[in-house]
Amino acid sequence: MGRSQSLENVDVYTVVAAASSAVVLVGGTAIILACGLAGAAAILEIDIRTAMRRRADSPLVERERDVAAALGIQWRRWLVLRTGTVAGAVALGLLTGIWAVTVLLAVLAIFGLRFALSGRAARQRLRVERAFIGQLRHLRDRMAVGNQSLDTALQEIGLNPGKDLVYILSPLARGGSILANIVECGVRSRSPIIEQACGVLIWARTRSLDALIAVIDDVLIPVGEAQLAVQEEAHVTLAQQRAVTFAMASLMGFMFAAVIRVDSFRAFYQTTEGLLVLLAASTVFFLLVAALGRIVSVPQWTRWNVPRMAELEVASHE
Amino acid sequence: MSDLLVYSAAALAVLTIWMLGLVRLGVFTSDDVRAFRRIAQLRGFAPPRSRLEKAARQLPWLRTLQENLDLERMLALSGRGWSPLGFLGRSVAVSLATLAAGLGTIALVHEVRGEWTVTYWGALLAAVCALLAMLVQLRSRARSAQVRTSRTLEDLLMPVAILTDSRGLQLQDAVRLLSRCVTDSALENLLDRQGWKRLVPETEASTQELYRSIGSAYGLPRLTQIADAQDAAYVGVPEREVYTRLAEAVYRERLAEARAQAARAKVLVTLPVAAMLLPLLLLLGAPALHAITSGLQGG
Repeated sequence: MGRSQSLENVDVYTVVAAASSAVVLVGGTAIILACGLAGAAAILEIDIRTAMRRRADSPLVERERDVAAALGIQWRRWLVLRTGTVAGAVALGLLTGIWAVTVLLAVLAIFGLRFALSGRAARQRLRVERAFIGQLRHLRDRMAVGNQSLDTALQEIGLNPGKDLVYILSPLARGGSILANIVECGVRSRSPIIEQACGVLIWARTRSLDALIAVIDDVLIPVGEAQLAVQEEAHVTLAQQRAVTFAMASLMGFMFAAVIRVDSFRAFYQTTEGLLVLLAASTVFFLLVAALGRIVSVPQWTRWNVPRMAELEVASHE
Repeated sequence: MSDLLVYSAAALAVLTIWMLGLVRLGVFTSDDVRAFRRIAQLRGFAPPRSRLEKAARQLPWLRTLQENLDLERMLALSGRGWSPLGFLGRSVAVSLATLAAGLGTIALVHEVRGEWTVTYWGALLAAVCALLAMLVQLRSRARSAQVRTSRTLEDLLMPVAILTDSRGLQLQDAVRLLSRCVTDSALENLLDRQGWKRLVPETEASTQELYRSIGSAYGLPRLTQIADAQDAAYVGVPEREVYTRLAEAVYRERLAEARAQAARAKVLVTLPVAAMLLPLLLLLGAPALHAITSGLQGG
């Protein structure tokens, strides 16, 4: 009885010793790794909290939001569309039976959809910006010729903004604070030209009506038209780039579809060598598309923080 | 004998570094010259050009090399608060960590496979690459910040015209205020948070002089143009007109650049299209070649 109890004790001690050595090993390794990572973060001055906060408004997400806004699609619907496209591409890839094609189609769905729709988004944004400059002319005429106040003129424009500006200018129709409505228009537009024009209206609206009319006549409309001319030229360049990329992708897709219809070729692409060839061809293709993007680049614009502008404008009166 | 040569070379190198350090610290310079240099530095006078700078003015490739290795300038341009020594320390730390990781991996592979698949030179090469990558990354960040700052300056001219004319703000106040309203913080870091003090000595200069100095030191010609425009405003041209004209000129320039680039792209775009033959040939040729070689081996 006493011996069996001592054996049990020995087993318990052995188990505890083994468990504690495993805990020491795993825990020690984790501590060493954590210290190493913390040291590396300290050396590289990486603020993890700031990095996590920045992730919420990363440039990638902002670009996605810009495309969705330009196409007039709500953010949630855009996310559903993106997810659905990737799922469809993966399903199609699984049907081919070649796993590398599945991966390739998934990559194409992730990057290709935005690329495919970005031309349409740019065209739509250009149309909206052109319409906005037109509405600025109407605003000027309403104040200068119709003798309307800024509030009334903006509200009437908000009630009848035209087909392209319904979503962006609808806040003006609801009345209330002009400043808040202009800020809302700027935020909704996600267009650098409209954001800048909204910023100018925010700063110029508190002066006399004549001064505001002069600002629209002398500054907003001439500079806005110059900006539109640059945008139109960029749009032509972008269309050229996209046409060439589509032609290249179609040719590649057509040739690959033709090749895998032949049994012997299909069998080759299911081997390791075939997968390597497919990987190499895809890499060269993507590198060429990237090179095309570098050759035909479009000018970038400064993005404005319209709510911050409004805050500073209000603060300047206090 | 070979050991003696190595020790002699090492001793010579240490002695040279020691002497260079003494020269750099001004041990051999007379007190008067050192005092004069100190006063010149405090008053913000331009320091005399070094021999390297004089040589760089003659040779463009040396100037490019000097600019790419000028850590102080690149750190200032990229908006990093690090000192050159601090940056070097971090880069060396990253490089040594890469070397340690490389050596550890090589030892692990040796332990598992029982043979040396990669020599220690591989780890050393990776460490040197890590050091170069840090430098290239800094250069890329500096260039990107320079381009973004210049673009922001161009795009804020229209609001500047309104703020200086309708709201009666001074140019420097308008620019600082607007730099806070941009989503990109490069211009805000430079002007509003006074990042310019890193390369431009603080003096009692006017806004125009200050903007010209910053424009020259940070490679921002647009800032110099804004200073010139303010000169025009001082002699009686309305501020709204001055800055609106400058904004229009900027956008005309952008339009001309866009048109020139589009024309250039029409020719350059044929290169990637022609290169598309390569993946097409790979897709078609590889299975065909495989089938032929299999057939030959089978026959």
